[in-house]
Formats: sequence, structure tokens, C-alpha cells
Amino acid sequence: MSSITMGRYVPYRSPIHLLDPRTKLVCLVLLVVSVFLGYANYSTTFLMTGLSLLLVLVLFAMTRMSFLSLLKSLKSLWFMLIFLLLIYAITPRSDNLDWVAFFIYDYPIYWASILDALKILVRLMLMVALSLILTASTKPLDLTAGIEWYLSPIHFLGVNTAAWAMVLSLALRFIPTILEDVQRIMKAQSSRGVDFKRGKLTVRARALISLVVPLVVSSLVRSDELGDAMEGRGYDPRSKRTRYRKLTFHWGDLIALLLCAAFCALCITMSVTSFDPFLTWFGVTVR
Amino acid sequence: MPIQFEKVSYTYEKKSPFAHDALKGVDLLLEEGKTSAIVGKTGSGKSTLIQQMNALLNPTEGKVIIGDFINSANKKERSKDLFSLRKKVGMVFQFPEYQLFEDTVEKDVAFGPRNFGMKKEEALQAAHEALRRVGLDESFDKRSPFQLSGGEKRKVAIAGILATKPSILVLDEPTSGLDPASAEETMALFEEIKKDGTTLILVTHDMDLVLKHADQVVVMEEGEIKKVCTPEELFSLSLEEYSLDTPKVYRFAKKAIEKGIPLSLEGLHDVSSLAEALCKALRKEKK
Repeated sequence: MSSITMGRYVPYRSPIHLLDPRTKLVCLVLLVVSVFLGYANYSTTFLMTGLSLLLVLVLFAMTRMSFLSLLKSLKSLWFMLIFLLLIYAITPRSDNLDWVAFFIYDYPIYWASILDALKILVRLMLMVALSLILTASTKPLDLTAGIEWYLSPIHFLGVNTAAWAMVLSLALRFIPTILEDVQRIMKAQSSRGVDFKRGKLTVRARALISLVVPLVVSSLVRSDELGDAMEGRGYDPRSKRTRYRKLTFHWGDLIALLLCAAFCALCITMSVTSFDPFLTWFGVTVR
Repeated sequence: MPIQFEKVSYTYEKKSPFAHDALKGVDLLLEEGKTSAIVGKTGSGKSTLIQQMNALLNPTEGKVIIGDFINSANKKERSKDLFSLRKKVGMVFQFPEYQLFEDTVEKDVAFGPRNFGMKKEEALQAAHEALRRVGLDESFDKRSPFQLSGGEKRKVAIAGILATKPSILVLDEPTSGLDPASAEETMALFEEIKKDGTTLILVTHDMDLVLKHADQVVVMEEGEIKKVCTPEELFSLSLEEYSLDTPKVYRFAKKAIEKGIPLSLEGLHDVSSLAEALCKALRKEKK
């Protein structure tokens, strides 16, 4: 369960928490783009990835999240790493084919394959970490308000953005409720002798069914009741709603935006111009 | 089996900003073959307390001794086989009908016995016995539990727990959401089961139930045990201190005494014993 609760909103008052959700959404996009750019060579990629990692670490510290728990929740990614390694080993890229790490019988495994797999993995990790920072520092309702704000231009095309935002915020709102249901049903079934952690695959599958069926039933019942309750209180998807939470844009937001934009611009420039700091500044040629 | 709590504390989500002490050093003995009621406000730690009894939760401090089993904060001291403890301690959660998931009633009831290692035929036999016991005849065996009425679903769920023949039965608000007749029927069933020497633990807000069925009352407040006594003792006190309701029968009797009817509070358990006492008192007055 800890991996699910990892990105849960934690009510601190950090500088990141105080940012406008709209700012945070743009910053997230900018930083994720930066993380996924390709560079001139492996050394530069290594350098820039290191820089991004440093940035993420600083953001983690600012949001008061523990980096250790992130590493723990990433433990399950080993399978992904093996999968990526396999893909890259079977389909090596055409450049760098002279740089062989080792042979399995007569089949060459290139350093390029290993490095590419690691690169993808680290990028994914950074992306997950960035989105966790967003969700851990923003109330789900504020987040939907932010998304709704960005969607508002579509409103003029006749799309009912308010209704979609309501769907989104209800979905987010019910995540903890459904997790609670999961806990409750797991406890009830554990009392009936279900072991969710051990056992053969068939036994585990049955255990899962005993959890999923009641969960689906109670979720359907709940959504039905929610619909009635909303209608009972006069909810009309077509009418305009007023807002309790107002989003406000502060100086801090501007600074955060500028910093993220600057970082993104730096990354894009380096990527587009194939800038190699090692060659330009130190005159060293590296891979 | 008796249940002994020794300095049991439990903290939810320890070492996080959500940390919450639900139990604070609880010492308690629940005797074998008796009905113990656990009462207290919402959030006083009742649910946490009962979940220690079949090791759904392990104490963060102290230990719980259930017959031969030890559920301790200290992993070395903890019994290895806490799984079999769940066979001995049956737990009927609030709204147990949400744990139904099989396609027929008999399969659902046999689910528990099957998990605890019974063969299919044996388990079905146990299921049929349990179903007859809760008052559902053969016609229910092959029906889908999802087509039953609320009261019948509740009975099926209870049968599912009785089928494992537990020697301790923990009931969390067993009558909530039932109509008065079904509620009475359900409690009569538990009284019947108690006669076989089963220890009952009843968590409830309904003081009428406590007065009628409990041998011992445990009053909880903010994770601590405030009082352990008999229901008569508790209800003759002023209950405002614990923010508990006075049972209807007692409220009536106290009013009657105020009006000068020489009624004795002793031996009052339910409406019929009240009626008897009232008749006796009035007859005495006539003379």
C-alpha cells in the first residue's frame, strides 16, 4: 500500500505547497520535457541527467518528502530494467556499434544498449518523482481547479469543461475512499482466512477475486448514492457554478515559472545545438 | 478463550505527519464465555482494539494474549501461527454484507472453512449447518447472495463467519441498518451461540443492546479504558461524563421512580423485565 500512498497530499506549508496549482502544472510539463531531451553524447547526457536529479532532490527536500521512500517505491522497477535491457540488447542502435561490453556466446552486447536502458529508466524515475512532487504538494481539488482553468478555452467550442472537471475531481476525491474500502474488505476477508500475501498463484487469484468483487459492488452502490445526493442538492451539469477556492498568482509563481523555463531552455538549447561542454570548454573528446 | 491486553498501544502511520495514537497503554481482561460490550464515542479506539484480537493489527507496544496465541509488538515474542488465530476469533464487521462475493450463498459461506483448510464437502456441510443456524433454509443455498434482501445478506455474511466455528466472536455494530425485528432475531442468534461457550465481544453505540446482552462493559475514551463494570453499575451512574446514552428501559424506570413508583433498577434488562418489575411495584402500591 505504501507505493500508492507515496504521492498522497501531505499538508505542509512549504514554498512548493504555496505555489499556484496552475504554475505547478506548467512547471511539471517544462521539467518533464527537460528530462526527456537527448544530448550530443553519453557524457553530456550523464551530466544533464545528474543536474536534473540534483534539481529533483532539491525539490524533494523543499516539499519535505523523503527520497528514501521514493527509492523504496521504485524497487519494483527492476523488472522494467531487465525488459529494457533485453529490448536494447536485441535491437542495438546503429551508432556506437564498435563499443562492445561483453559477448554472450557470439552475440555482442554493446555498452550503448546498457547505457540507453539505464538512461530511459532514470528518466522515467525522474518523471515519476516530479509528478509525485506535484501530487504531494497540491490538494486534489486545487489540482482539478488548475486543470479546469487550462481547459477553459475549450469551453467556447461547446465542451462542458465544468462537468469534465467535476468528473475529474470526483474521481480524485474517491481515491482515498476506495482505498479505505479496500482496507476494510481486505480485513473482513483476512478474518475469513484469506492470505493476501502468501500462497500459490491460484489461491492468490481467488483471494484477489474476494477483494475485487465486493469492491466493484460497493463502488457502484456508492456512485449511485452520490448521483442521487448531488441531484438532491440541486446539481445541474449545465448551469454555471461559483467557486469557493480562488486561484491566485503570486510573485513566487513567477519566479518558479522563470526558473523552470530557464532550465528547460538551457536543456533545449544544449540538445538542439548538440553542445558538448567537454569538447568546447576542456577540449576533451568523450563518448 | 480469554483475551488479555497488556499495556497495548497502537499508533496509526507512525513516523508520518498523519501519526495518530489510537490506543494508549490498554490493560484489559475479557473473560471466557461472557459477553463483553465495548462502548465509547466514535474515534475512541474501539475498532482498533478489536482488530488486535485476531492480529489484523499488531500492537505498536505491549501484547495481547488470546488463549495460546500472543500478538505482541515484539516480533520474537509474537506467535508464529497467527493465521490459525483467525479461525478461533471470528470477526463480524460493520455491514458485513459488503464482504459477499461468490455466485451462490453456500459457496460464499463455505469460503471461510475452505480457507482454513477444510475439504470441499466438509466446508459445504459446515456452510449448510451455519445457514440453518442463522435461519436460512435450503431454498437459499443455490441463490446468488446479491439478489437477497439486506437482512438476508447480513445473515449470510454472519453464517460465513459462524461456519468456521470460532470460539470468540467479535461483533462490530451487528444490528446497525437492520429493521427492529431482524435486529432482535440477530441478537437472539448470538445469545444462542453464546450458550455453546463462545465468548462474545460486542462493539456498539446502542445502550439498549448493552443492557440486555452484556455481562461486562468496557468504556473507552480517546484510546484509554475509562471504566470496566457491569451494565447495571454503569447505567446507574450519571453517563454524561462518558457521553453515553441511558438505555430506554432505564430512562423509563428512572422517570417512574421520580413519580414515586417504588421500582427497583436491579434486574432490569429489557422491556419485558421492565414490565414485570412495574407490575410488581404497582401491585405492592395497591396493597
